[in-house]
Amino acid sequence: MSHILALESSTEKCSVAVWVNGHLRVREVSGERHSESLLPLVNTLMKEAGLSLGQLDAVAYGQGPGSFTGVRLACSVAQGLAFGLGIPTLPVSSLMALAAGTNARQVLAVLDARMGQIYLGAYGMIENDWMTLMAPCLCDPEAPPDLPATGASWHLVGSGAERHASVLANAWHLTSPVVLQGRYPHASQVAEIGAGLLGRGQGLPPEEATPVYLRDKVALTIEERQRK
Amino acid sequence: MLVLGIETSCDETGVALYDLKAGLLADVLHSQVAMHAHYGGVVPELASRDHVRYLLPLIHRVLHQAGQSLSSLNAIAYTAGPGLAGALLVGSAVAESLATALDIPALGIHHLEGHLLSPLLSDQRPEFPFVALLVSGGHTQFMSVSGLGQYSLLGETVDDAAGEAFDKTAHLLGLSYPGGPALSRLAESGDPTRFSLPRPMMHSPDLNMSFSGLKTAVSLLVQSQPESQRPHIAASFEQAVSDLLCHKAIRALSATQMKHLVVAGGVGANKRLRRELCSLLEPRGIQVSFPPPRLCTDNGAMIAFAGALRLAQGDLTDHQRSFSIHPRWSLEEYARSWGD
Repeated sequence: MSHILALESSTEKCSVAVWVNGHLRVREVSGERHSESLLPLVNTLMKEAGLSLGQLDAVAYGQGPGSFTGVRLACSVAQGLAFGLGIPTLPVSSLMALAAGTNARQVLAVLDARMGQIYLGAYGMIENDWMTLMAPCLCDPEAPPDLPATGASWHLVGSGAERHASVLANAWHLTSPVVLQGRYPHASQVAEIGAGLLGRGQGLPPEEATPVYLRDKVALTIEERQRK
Repeated sequence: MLVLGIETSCDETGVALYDLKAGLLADVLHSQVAMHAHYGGVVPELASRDHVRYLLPLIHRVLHQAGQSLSSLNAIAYTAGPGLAGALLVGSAVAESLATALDIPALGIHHLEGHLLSPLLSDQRPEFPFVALLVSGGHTQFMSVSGLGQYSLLGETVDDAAGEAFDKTAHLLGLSYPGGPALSRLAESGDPTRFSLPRPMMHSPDLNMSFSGLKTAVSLLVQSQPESQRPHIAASFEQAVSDLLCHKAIRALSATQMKHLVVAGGVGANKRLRRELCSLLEPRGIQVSFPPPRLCTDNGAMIAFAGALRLAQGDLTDHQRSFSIHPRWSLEEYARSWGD
């Protein structure tokens, strides 16, 4: 029996899920104040599932990329819960979770990174497991990295794909790509992917749980400002 | 009663363990000052990133230092505001989640309550009531403190905080960020009477203060005087700030009829201010208390301590496990939230 709690708040949709041997129970909210809703959601969900926190084996979280504050929130809550419960954390890419929420076989997961840029990752379903075909990166939609040559057709998903569909299609020379609408990274997939990580012994001690921002340049140093 | 304290409101990650009987058991700090210095000021996003990286390792360290385990904690206190939203969020999220997992209360503490109670952590513990002078990079205010949670604002700066004036003036003098301490070092070799700087609002009948005009006056001096005069400019500036604060402190004490002044916040570590407050107030029969210098800046100890006092007072409203942070938060509003 394994029990996994999953948290995902990297976009405007905040969700929590609990995975009990392949059975999922979920709760979600939309809006801006995820910080106020995340822990109450966890408590409600655990109650509904008839589980106590002490029964959990791991806490999975969507580690980003996405909203800086959102990914830090999921990471901090995962850290606090896992540390207090003495269990591992399971960091799951929010882009992989986004891809895994589709029923396609090969997915380009694209989130809007603001400032005209995107977070991008490529994923494929191989032997019933989601694999990373291209590691997450931050790029301009006009100049994304080359796609892995797999031969199969791609589905695009996420806020960045919706916003920059034609630009991306041009850049990759895709003719009539399928763009799946209205999808967000969700805790259900974070839980499923997390279960795989736990099964392979890939849990991390909570103090090693970190967010993934991808955008690391967030301000100019004095020197950089002077050079400008 | 063992309380873990977490402070992440700005650019220091502070964690401490306070026991109601045994006192402060451990107190650790990760300062980000060196990182932000490259940017000439605090970059909020970078501050938040550091908090999430260092908080759990620091909690491990205090537990280890004190020879305690998580299971011996009775509560977790954290800074819920005011401060940088993203930075506050990390401390509150970790604190509330950890408390949920341990099934113990989490207490959201006002950053300034932490500061104004911090002198009570010294060996010579001041008694209530007292006038508190909170003077830091973000705040400059006089509060009357008649007990835990019984605070009323007597007066405050109408523009810059005193610490902010220190940093900005230091910048004008060509000192690198954070300039306050560097300015004080420069001032040590200067003559504080060389230049006559304005003392804005010094004689206003209220307890409000103003510091932004001082910076303008310094800017004019820096332009008109040779570089060799900078120590004197620094000393004259420090003297003006000190005069203003001392003058208003005397007024605050006489208005409240209180016999005790407690100074807290980063500028409270300034030697000239400490010296002048003591020499002016003690002959008038006023006792002046300062927190230990390492507790003047942001730290986890003051948050653990405030949390422990709240816990001892039985201030435990139902914990709903939802947490809200308050980037802007008055002490009065905070006190009302406890039902003080």
